[in-house]
Amino acid sequence: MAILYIFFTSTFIGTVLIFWLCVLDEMRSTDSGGVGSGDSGRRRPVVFYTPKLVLVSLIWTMLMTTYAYVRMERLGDPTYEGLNDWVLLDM
Amino acid sequence: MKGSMTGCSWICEYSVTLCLTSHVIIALRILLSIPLTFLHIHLINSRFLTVNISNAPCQYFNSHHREIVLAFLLFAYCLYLFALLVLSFTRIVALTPPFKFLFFVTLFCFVAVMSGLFLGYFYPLATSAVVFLSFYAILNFYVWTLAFAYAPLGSEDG
Repeated sequence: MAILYIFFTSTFIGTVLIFWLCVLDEMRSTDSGGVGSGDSGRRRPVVFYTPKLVLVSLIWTMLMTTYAYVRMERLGDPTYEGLNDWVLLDM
Repeated sequence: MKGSMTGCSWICEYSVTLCLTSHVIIALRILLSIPLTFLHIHLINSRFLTVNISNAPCQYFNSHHREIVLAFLLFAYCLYLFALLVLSFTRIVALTPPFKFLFFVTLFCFVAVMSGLFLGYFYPLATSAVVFLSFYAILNFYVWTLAFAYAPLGSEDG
């Protein structure tokens, strides 16, 4: 069940992140400034989507591996606390 | 009269540019401070923590290294989104009030998701009920707001 949680959480976050980038970039690049306004045919889909997909895919991969690593650590060591071992919270 | 109007519009344009530039610089400083603080804390911790890297082969690229790579990727994402926000600023100002509301809800969710990712609240571990409920309530609220905002209109004669 944990791997399902990790997969679906990471996928949802990745989808939301790429949605925000696409909406803002489409708002910037179209004349009428709206999503689905009919101007979207003027831009090239490869140029539009590739950088966003690459960045969000990397984030998705790192989220999956980090969360899976934390989960595996927890299985081997029940006292392992991912949140307490998070570097930002070790202040 | 025309000259004074031109001068006034120039001053207004200049002040808007100055204000926008100062806001950009302040936002960039805030965005830059996130990964730098992250890296600084990690470097301080690495002096005091004793990590036995011979226990597991994957410890050479352990959880903290992954978290740092993830933080830099998220920082790059924040920069990208911030650049798009600045470039589409005039279109955001010209939005109708309902879509402005949607835009501010989106900004609120963006801050919530980013703070959740940077602080590790989406970890697959048991957290407090307040944290769990807050994040999932915000995300559910956002998804249902989007569904309501982009729902197709019914036909008027139907």
